[in-house]
Amino acid sequence: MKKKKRTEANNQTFSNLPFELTLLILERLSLKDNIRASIVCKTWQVACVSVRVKEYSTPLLMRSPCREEYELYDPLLDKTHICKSSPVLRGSHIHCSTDGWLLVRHRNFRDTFFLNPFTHERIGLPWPDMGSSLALASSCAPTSNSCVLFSVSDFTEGSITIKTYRLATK
Amino acid sequence: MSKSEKKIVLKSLDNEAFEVEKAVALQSQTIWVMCEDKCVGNEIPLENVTGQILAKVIDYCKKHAVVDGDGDESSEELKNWDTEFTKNMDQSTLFNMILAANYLNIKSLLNLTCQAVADKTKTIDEFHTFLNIENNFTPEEEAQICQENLWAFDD
Repeated sequence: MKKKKRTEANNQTFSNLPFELTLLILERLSLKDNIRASIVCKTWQVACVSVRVKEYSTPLLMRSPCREEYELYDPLLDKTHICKSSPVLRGSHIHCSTDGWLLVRHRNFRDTFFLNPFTHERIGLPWPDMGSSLALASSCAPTSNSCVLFSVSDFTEGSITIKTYRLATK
Repeated sequence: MSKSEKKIVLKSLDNEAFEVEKAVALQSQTIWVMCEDKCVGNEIPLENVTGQILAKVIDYCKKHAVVDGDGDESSEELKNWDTEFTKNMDQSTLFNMILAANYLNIKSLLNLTCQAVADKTKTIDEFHTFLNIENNFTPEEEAQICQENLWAFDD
């Protein structure tokens, strides 16, 4: 009899907990514990990811050109992390950052390229005239088929030149 | 108001009856709405809660009703009481307490029990054994999640 009771108790599993109540538990975990909890089972993975997206904020990349380091600033937590620059970034100018990619003009003013600061993957751009642009921006990550680049140059009185470039991926 | 009106009887799924002060029972929004609508008499059947769990819920409500009432006990003592209350609950009890708190709509009890589960499950091993959840990932899928988030699994 005692044995039977124990089996019944053990049959109670948290995978039967309604999804919205599972979320209530997972909301209370730190980001690290949340990621660890995501390998419990498939339902929990979905639940973990859904509360993670809501809570997580990506820090902003800040950079001072004269120093060999850059800062990651999280405006929600008011925290700054200082990271060492990758050598390829030193002396270069970062035009913009989109979906984790930096659009960089090399210090020689000729080469413009995308750099993923996490994987160090580099995608060169075949347009030499970009080097003289005053401003550059991209619509999304260069790995996307719809990636379009905009450049602003020849900013003289009364006129401005805006060019668009389409990055065709193979 | 006569004495009988201040008391209310809660009846569990397994037909156990508990007579409690109305002020204690009304911490449950579900019971509050039932009383407000006058859709029940003095006896309220709770079809989703067993007697064993209902007894614990009532303990919690009594403690919190007293404190809200006369303010004698400090919030710190109440916090300690809450910690003790959930400390030795096993997985099955916590599971049923969460369901009961949700069904009876007692926000503070729901927060307390969810927090207790979160606190007890800080590592993977504990997650699986304590929660009694079967891992339905293939080894490859599990390895991939770990690989994508190495920093979270590095100890």
